[in-house]
Amino acid sequence: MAEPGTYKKLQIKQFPVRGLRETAEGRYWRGFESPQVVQQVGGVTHVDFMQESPYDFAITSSTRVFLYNGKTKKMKKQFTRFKDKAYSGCLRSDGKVIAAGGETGLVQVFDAGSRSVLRQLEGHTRPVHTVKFGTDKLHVFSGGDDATARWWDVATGAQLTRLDGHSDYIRAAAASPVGPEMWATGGYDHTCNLWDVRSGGSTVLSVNHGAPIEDVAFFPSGSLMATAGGTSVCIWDVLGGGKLLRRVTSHQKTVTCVKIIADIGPPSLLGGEDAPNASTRMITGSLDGHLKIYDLDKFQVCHASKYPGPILSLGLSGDCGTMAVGLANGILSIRNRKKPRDTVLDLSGDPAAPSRAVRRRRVPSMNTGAYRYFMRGQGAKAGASDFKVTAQRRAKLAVFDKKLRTFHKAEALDAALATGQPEVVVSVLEELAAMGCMQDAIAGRDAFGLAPLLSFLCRFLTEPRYVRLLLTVAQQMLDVYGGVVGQAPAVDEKLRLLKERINVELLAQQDLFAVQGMLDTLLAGSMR
Amino acid sequence: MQTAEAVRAIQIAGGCLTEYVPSFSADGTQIFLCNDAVARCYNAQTGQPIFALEGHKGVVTSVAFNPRNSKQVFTTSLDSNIRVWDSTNGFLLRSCEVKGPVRSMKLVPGKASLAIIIHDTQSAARLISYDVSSGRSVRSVHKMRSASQLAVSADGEYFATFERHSALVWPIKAATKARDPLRLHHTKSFTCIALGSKGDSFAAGDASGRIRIWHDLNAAVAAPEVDSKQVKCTTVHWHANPVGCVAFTEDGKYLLSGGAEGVLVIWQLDTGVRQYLPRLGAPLRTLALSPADPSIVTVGLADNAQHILNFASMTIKSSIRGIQPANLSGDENPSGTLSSSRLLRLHPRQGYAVLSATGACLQFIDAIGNQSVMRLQVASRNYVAQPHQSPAFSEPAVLAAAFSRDGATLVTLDTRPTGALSHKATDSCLRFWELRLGETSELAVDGSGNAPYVLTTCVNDPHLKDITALEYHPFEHLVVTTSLDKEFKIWQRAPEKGGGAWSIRSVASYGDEPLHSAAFSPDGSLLAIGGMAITLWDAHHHTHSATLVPPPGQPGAVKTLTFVASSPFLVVATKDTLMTWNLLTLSVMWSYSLNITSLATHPTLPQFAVSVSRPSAAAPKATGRVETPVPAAPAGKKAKGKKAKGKDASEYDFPEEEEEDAAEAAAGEREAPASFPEPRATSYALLFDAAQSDPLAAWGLRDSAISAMAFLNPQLSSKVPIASEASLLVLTQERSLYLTSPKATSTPETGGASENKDENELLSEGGAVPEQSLFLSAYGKFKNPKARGGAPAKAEEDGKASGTLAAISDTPSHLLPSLLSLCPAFLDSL
Repeated sequence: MAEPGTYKKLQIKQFPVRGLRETAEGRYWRGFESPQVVQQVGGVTHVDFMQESPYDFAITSSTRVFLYNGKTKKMKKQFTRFKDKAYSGCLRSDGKVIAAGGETGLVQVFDAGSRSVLRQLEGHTRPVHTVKFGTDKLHVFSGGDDATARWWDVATGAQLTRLDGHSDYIRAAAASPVGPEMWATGGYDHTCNLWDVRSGGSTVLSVNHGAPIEDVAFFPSGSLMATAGGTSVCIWDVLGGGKLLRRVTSHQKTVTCVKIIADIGPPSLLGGEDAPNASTRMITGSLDGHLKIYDLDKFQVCHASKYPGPILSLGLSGDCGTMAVGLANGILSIRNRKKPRDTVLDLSGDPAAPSRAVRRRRVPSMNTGAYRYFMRGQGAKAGASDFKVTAQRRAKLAVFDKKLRTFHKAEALDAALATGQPEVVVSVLEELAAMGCMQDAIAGRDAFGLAPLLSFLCRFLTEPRYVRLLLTVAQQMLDVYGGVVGQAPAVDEKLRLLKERINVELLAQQDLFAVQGMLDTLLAGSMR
Repeated sequence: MQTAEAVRAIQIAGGCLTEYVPSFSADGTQIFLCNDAVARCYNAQTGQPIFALEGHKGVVTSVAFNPRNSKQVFTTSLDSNIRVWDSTNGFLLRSCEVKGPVRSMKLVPGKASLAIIIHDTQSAARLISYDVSSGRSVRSVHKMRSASQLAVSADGEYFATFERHSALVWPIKAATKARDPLRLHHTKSFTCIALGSKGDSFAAGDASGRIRIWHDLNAAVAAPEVDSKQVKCTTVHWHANPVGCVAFTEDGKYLLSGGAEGVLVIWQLDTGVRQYLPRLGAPLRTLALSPADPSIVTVGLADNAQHILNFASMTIKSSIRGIQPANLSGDENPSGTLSSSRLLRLHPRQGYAVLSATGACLQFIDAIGNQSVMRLQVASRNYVAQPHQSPAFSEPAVLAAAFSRDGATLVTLDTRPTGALSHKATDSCLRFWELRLGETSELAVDGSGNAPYVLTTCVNDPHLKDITALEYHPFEHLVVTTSLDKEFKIWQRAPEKGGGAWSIRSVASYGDEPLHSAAFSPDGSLLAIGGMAITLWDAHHHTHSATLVPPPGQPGAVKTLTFVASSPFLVVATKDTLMTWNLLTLSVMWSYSLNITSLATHPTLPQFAVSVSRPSAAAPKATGRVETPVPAAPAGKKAKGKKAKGKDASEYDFPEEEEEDAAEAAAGEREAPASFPEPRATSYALLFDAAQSDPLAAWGLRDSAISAMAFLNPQLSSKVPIASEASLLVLTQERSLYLTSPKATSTPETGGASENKDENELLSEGGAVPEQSLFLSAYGKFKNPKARGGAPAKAEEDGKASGTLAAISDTPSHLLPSLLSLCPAFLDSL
């Protein structure tokens, strides 16, 4: 407690922490830095990462396929040998070869280094929207709008198998992680077919999603499969004969892409030190611009983020360090995840590191001209037997505190506004109100002096945590300056803005009341 | 009166320390303060009490040292006595009676045993010179409309007083011979005066904040015919409010002044330079300079604190605090049921009484030792004087506090004014504190006098509307708050160890009605919440377990409720009813129509105490009745219009509602106890055993209102000789603490010390002898022997035999009065 005779500092009001509750999941996904945005010519229809370091990735946009460096996130190569739109530019897992479909129905295979066309696989009669490399690196799987899927041998350029069974466009294909010859295709005929490319011809399994399928993904175990189409994602038990395990509907618009990534997410609390990363996550992107991440235990959304446009494609690097999302408005958003702290510590664990640290902490030589020379001994600790003289140090006061101490009310308010911290301004305003001199602090300003207060009110008036106080402040301000409105254009502009803010808030309140009324009706009905 | 001795319970702490001017001893080491009927001696260096001068029967108004003999100290009192004491040990040397109540006395330096005294009677005040050695008045110097301040110059040549717009200065000869005073007129009314040490300068503060200083009085006083306008005068003005006190230093170079701003202003008279010692925290009332050290002054503040400070170094050397007022303006926030003046908690470890103090502080008072032990600044606010006494201004105040069982955690609720800012008058803040002890494991005072509690969590605006109750769980770290916003919230400490952070655990409401009270059961299993109905909740899982619906015809929200220790009873007080619920049967055990002002339960015994206040000598509207345990059958309605029949001491019937009847009864009973002559407002404390409707004991407290009560901790009270197992600590509106002892035998008949306290004594009577009890004198005799069983009483009113029979047979046997009393009624009905 401050002694009588000393000024007590203004206590800054503390408000509860805003926003969602902090979870390990949220911390992990927010670890992806704010995006690096690259504007493309057309919508980014496909993003594909190579599975080994350096995790280069290819994106497909308009008539081109671009190859990006996984380290620098800069464009490395572009492939322009397309007569019409290119689709589904995909990298082989080692990143040396790129395959892409196109509007013409031609599947082309490029050398990633020289950009030369290695093979042109002809066969599809309609545009080819999905092209994938087989896990053996020697084959290419393609699905086209002619409702056929084909299995190509890249070395010879020959079509090995043609898979007929879909009755509409094929838009998605995925290879089973356990059997490289098992492929799933999804089409606009609402079905997802499972093929064995060795036998060819007929489907092994067929499931009905209920909506045109946009994307297909296998779980790492290979026993489950996810299909995305319409606003929902369906989880199928492949081994169980195509039983629908779960239908997850959390998007407002068509889900365009689904990915299932292993070894991602925050470290599990259950697993000990050996389990570095917890588990597998499902990620979906949708035309409503939301990217959602699900845990696979309950298929609940554990994190979501919003993108400034409809999401068409997404991809994650194998080390989960980079996430690239392609949007329909041509924006490619690349987010980089900061390296976790513990890996840095691991690096410093080698014997060379400590010596470096010691070397860095070398005490510089002290000469009489150095600042350190005059400050020497300042940090010395008193011994147990030493007599301690407590320094009478004055409490450091903030500017607004100094002004409040001397009853300079308007200047205290100005100083608080200059800090730019709304909590400080609110605390000072409350203190002034408690002292009964709010009007004195507001009054007597010219247009220039009133501007900071008006700007503050415009910005924070409708903030729920401040609204109670600031409404009164605004009223008092209008009481004081109501008679001189129209004399300073800058002030009038701010007042107009203030009015607009209030109107917007009122409309929002009306909407909320309407919603509340609806909910009350529903609740009352359900109670009966 | 042989069985029920009048037990004089002792006012153990409280009283104002700053109303009258204190005195330093000649060597400056001791300071004597007037504290109601006692003068107290403190060490001026440390602020520790040394001894008390007890003996006056009225308020002590001044303390003066004999200028010839520094070991003699004179005290004057409103009981028309002047007493002389040995200032080294506090023994009474001499006592003499004077003509009337003494408002102020100054001994004249250099003149043997000459004193100037202001007598204060109802109609007028007189300035009289006295010979204190003989106790005879020498001369009546002046007659005034009302008593004001008296000043005597340090050289003993002049004395002065003021009367509204004029100040009067006499030479000392006027004490023995008729002399006209020098009249100094002013346009504003004076508020305080001071005479310079040489008598050549005279300062007076006025109601507008100006200080007028007259110089070279010698010539003017010698010839008072001279027009006072020719006396050289300067006016200085700094104070915005009326000047509270002025004083010259001994060398006459400086003038000290203070007022409602809470700033001590030091005027350098030669140069006009001002120095300030600001932020003393409350309006300044008195100034007294030390005769030994010219830079030491003691400043008496309106918050009942004396600060002894060095105005050369501008530091406070020590502070003496009495029980501080809850707020300075005196008015309370009437909307909430919590108020800072009603806050009384006992610290679980040391048993300190914890009260709310001005400036949003908690004050820890050692009630037995009558000492302010430490303070805790709850909300840190600067005291700002309001220039025009704006009514909208309210002070920050601590409204409620609760300790955990071990005293390691403290929860406080404070409000701060928002001015004319929002629809809410105040802005509340819930704070959670942890005890951080230093090297000593005991709660001890450190040098600063601050309580060692550290703030861990602060919740602004915990509820949308005013909070009405704050309770701590007896065992766990759970706190419940109820509010007028119809919700109650349960707060919990974070389970991580060492965290100490608090968060909300659950929010609940019952019905759509504001809540007024909450209580945890002593075993910690139940939580009772009082609104229009009483709801019981599981304290661990916060699930609703039962609802107690008040009997029909008893509307009104529950004002306060509490569980009774080691019994299944819940005591509930509404605006006009006191009820005891049995939680085993979920029914009302008994009830009274009483307006309870406070309620306290014993920590271990199944006893509780309530306080009621009676606004005037008129009959209380209390009508007692005992209800059947079936709430649906409130048969025992008020037995209206019934005349007293037999008198049976073992049965109770409160007087009927007819005023004359009750007044008659009360008047009839009044001869036995030392009756109160027309009390202005008498409040009563009643001690009940929860199982019985008869009070165990009752005390009346004259001219005062009980704000709060608390039972002393049994193991703690055993150390105190005047306390017994169920000693009750009573806080009055005047911020005094009284200690009562329920058992007359356990309390020794106190000697001279307590005899002097008869102004506010508490009389205790054994409940077993109601003829002589104060309770009966207040409420009259119990007339109807059958009032205990409500149904028989009603039936008898009908006068039908069958009705009486039916009522007797229908009433549960355990509620029926004794057979002896039933028998005549039964026979009558046949």
